[in-house]
Amino acid sequence: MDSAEAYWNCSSSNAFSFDDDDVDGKRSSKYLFDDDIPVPQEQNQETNSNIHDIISDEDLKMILDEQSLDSYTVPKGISPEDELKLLRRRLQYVLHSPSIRFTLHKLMLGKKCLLEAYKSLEDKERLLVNLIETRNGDGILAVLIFLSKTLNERQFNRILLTHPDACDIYVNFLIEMKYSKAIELLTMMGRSHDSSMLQIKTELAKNNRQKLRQLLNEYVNSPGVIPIYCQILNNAISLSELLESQDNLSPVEVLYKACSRHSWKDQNLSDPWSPYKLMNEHQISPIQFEWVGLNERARAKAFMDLEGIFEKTSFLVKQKQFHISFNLELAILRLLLLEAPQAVLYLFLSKVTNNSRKLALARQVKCNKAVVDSLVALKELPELEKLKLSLSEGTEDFFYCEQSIKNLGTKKWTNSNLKLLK
Amino acid sequence: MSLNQKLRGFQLISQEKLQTLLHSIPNKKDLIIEPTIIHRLEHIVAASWIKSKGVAKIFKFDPETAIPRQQNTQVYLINANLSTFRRVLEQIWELESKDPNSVENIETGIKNYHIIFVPNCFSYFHTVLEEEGLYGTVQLHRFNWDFILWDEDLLSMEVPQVFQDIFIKNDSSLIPSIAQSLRVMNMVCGQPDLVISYGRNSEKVVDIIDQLGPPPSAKNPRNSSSFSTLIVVDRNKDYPSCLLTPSIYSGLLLEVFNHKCGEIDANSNKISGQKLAIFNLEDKKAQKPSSSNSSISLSSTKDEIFGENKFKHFAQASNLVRAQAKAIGLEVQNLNKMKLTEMQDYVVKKLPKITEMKLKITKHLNVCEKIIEELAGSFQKLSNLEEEILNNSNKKKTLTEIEEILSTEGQKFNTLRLLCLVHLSMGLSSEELSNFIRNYCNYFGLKYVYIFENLAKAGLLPHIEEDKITKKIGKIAIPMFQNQTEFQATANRFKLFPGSSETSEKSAFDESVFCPSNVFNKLYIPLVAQIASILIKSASIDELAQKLGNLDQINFHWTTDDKSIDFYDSMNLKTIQAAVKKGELADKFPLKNRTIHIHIIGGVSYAEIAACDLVSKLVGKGTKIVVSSDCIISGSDLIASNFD
Repeated sequence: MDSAEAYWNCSSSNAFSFDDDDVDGKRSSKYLFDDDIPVPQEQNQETNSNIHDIISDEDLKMILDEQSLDSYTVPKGISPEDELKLLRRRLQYVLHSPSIRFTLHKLMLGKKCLLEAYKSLEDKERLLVNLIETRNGDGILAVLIFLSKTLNERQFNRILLTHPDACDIYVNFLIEMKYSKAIELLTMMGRSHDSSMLQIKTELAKNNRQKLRQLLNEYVNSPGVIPIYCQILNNAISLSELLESQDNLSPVEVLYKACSRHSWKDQNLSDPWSPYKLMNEHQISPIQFEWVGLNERARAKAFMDLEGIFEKTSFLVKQKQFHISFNLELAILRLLLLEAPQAVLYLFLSKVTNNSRKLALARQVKCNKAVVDSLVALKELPELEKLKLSLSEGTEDFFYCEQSIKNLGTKKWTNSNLKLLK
Repeated sequence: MSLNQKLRGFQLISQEKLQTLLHSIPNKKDLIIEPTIIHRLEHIVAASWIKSKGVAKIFKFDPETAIPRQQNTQVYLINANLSTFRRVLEQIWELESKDPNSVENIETGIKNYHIIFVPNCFSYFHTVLEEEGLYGTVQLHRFNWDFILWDEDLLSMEVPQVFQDIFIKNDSSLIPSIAQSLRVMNMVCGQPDLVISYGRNSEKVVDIIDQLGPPPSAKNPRNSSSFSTLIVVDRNKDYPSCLLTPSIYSGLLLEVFNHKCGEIDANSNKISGQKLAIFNLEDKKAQKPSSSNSSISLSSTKDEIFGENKFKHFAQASNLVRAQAKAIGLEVQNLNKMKLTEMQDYVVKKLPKITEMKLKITKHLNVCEKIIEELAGSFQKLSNLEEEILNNSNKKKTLTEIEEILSTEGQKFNTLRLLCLVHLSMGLSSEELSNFIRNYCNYFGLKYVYIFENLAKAGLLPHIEEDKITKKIGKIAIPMFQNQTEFQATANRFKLFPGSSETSEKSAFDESVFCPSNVFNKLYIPLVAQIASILIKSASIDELAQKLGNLDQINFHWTTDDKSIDFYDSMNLKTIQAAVKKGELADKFPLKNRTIHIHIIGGVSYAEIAACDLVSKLVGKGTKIVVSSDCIISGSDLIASNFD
């Protein structure tokens, strides 16, 4: 137990757990809150400077006064007559004729503020409009809460409708305080899109199938429906049906699971866990499908199945063809990270059409056979000889290299070369 | 007194504020602090200081478990956040219901519970307190530390929720707090006589500073203002400065490691943290045991190696760190050749310093390696892609590439960051966006669909159009020739693309190797750096008007010595230009005092900070630019704040 931990424990009851802090980041410099720690550099220099050099006394006093939330402090050293005048004026503001300027200023300073004097609708609205003008969100909300308590719903909603900025602030508040009221208000204000989005967000996080179904039904029939959101709701329902649990996994994560339980030898398309079925149902892009397949099968060391993923029969040629939806290089480098055997790397490397690129890649992943192939294709006989010397005799790679050199030698009189000679 | 000494003074003011607050609460106190605040508070006061102010014990606030109250008054120090506040109230309610003396306490007016909100106690918190039935039992307070000086010329308010509140939720509650802190800055450094605001929120902040009125000391200022100009800018006026991948050391540190409170955690990994667990190979390898001291301070005074390298190109910085490591290695080797007497002297005088230096260099070496490990593979590809996006060359190809990146190395925030950049620079159609949403949600989870609404609210992505009918109409109505996006227009007006056109601005920079666009591999000049440079270089108001005129939402507040014009009256540049011509106003240009203060609402990136530093070095002649914001962020942090 280091000294920092000791410090906290000695001062706290057992209600406190230090472990939480480690989750959100290790604290290094032990603790500044530990008294043994030397004062940081800044503070050393600080001791020389005095606060009176930094800020004038009157400014500092003002800052400290403003920090307090109460506004009814009576200045010290004031004569009783002046005090009476001051208090009378304040009482006047609070009880009878509110001064908007006075209220705005207090709200701007964030002081506690009584709004009860704003009785007439006109006063109330004028106050709000002035606040919106200053973009003082804190004040706007304080006034809105006051209005919601002193006006009937019809009047209050009318005011919200005419001030969308103020409405946003009020909705944020309701979401935290009374979620259902927020939905109600948004719907009532004709902001059905915002209301739907809020519900979609909440329900998707909770992932309750029943609620999601209900929401989808409502959403499909609401005005201004956005197709992609319908699709996502629909997919969320079918995904939770498949999982039969509250797990909030993404379709790709489910696909990964599906790939591991799928029997790749005899593909059963009626199985709800078939990766292909999942891909179709959720419109998972070919790139994502192939990437998940590659990663999952490689991790399961079932490299033979990769063929099934990347070789597709086309109806025209009636022959299996290799097809990959993303950069082949990415696949090869990933396979290397996933510790794929040489044969698999070789298979993928053999699909690279650019020979110099292939050579570089083959060297990077140390697949000698592919290096040989690309050197042959590039007709780099000296390089091949060099490679042969570097390989240990008797290995498969060595024989392959030797054979290739021989072939390259005998292939001198191929048709194309003959043509060139003529 | 130097400017830096003044800026350091914020700490003293904060201490004074906190002291007044703690003294105003009677009796012995137990302080219960929200964890995220602890880190920040450490930069203002030490525990011994707090304890000397009548605090008996310090606890960490745990939302799950209440800390039972003994005799002492409980003081909670939490962020001004409604849900945290309600959590605290629930705990207090729980404690109170068990307390046999609770009724008696209310009668005697003793408040056993106090809550201090950072940075502000919102007015409606009193209503909430009343509704929860705890009015009279709990007293509310507020504490705003204004600015914390992280590094030379760099201040942060450390209020991370500003971007989310203002730009996503359209909730302007924090605007008065920002204005108040900037007013304290005026009290400390004097009032700049030119204030420029760019953006709707900045304008309101300046308005509030104005309405709060000049501080009492303004009547008899002790010395002239440190800053000639204050520039306040909304984050949404220049998103690319956050979204683009920086090429400087400090910027990349924030890309790869978690940071908080002026420190990065070298054991963290911001990049792999964004990836789906099923594709993470690292968990196979045994995690390196995390060393206890793995943080690097982002302060030049605390870590001189960071100070030397922070604004350098990463390649240059990592070479320098390596060279330094070698030099230290040699120094240690020399030790073997020393005579005994020499060695004694060496051990006493030099060795402790060298050991400390070695420790620091090792840390920097390690993080450099980690950055290379994480980014080397993709950095070039990413740079090329970003260049294509900014050049608006081939949208279809770009989107295909982003889809491939999403599917093969999907990073929750960084992939979205690229898409946002595409939207800003190239414009996205509803169809293209829908396509991406499907792929993104399939990959990371369907529950993330709301992110796209948030991003649209922040203006980082378009709003999806309703249905096919409107889309068709839209297609007919808008002919296929692509209009410039708003970003392209602004970037061209401010000449933010270094190679784009022949301008005096550009040639001045191109002559030297140091162009502010260096922070983005010469792709782009951050807007604030460009505004600062225009301002300092302008020889007259006419020149300034030519470069900055005709811009919406840019406002000038021009004070005069004779006070013929109201304090901080908002004007547009043309009006000022006309007044100067008529001789009603004196031309302030060229600026005599070349120290300016830039404040960005919604977070500042290291690229921007570095670009400002470069501008001040390039223009020279005593130019100094101090940058402040509510927090320091990287692109992924900006995107992350769209997630709840």
